[in-house]
Amino acid sequence: MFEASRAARVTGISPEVATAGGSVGFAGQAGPAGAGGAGPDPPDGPRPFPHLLPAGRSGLAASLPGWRRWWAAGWSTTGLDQGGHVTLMRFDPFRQFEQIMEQNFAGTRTPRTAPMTALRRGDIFTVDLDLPGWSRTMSS
Amino acid sequence: MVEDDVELTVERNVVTVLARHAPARQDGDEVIIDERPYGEFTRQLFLGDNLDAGRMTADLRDGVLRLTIPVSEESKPRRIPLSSSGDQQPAEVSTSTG
Repeated sequence: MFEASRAARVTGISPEVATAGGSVGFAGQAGPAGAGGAGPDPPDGPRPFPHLLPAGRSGLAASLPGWRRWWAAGWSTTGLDQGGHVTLMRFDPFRQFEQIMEQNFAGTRTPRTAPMTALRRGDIFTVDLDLPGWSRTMSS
Repeated sequence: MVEDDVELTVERNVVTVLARHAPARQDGDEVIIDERPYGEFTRQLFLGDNLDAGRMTADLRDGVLRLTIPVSEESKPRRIPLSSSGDQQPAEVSTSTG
């Protein structure tokens, strides 16, 4: 992994945020000039997949040396290749793997239970269910 | 692709909530982060006899589905006048069936 302090300096977020499970970061323009790009292979070994490395872009991934640069790019060049200065990056590929396993083998097949709170207030019973993502007003 | 939907059904004294959440990605998208849960969410409630399921209302706002179920009128405490076959005046007592 990369140094939290360096990530914080580049991304503009605190080291705690940079390391505490943060899977979304903003890669600003603070990367050192000329540090990124598709230059020669890093001193710690050749790049495993040179075509996946962003070319000529500043940002967190470009500011890191060698393998770490490729790792921080989240195995993807989306955003970095498209010239944007704000980029979504993935720092936790293992979480991605777990998510894929959940979605493919459990999440879409087995209905999940929505968290519920039920209480009585006078002559009215109120039941609240968490359905994040829905906003439609309905009545029955 | 299954679109987002919420179904609320009442059958006798059983309330069933079924919510479907479809993923936002489409064909051709490169998924970078996909942590939001999707699929089916369901819950069943068994209503007591003292609840009036016919007057139940539901409101979905800010990601919270609120069901409001009033107590049936028959279950509320009420006064029943007592009659007497004698010469005395009828009296009232308070009873409760709920």
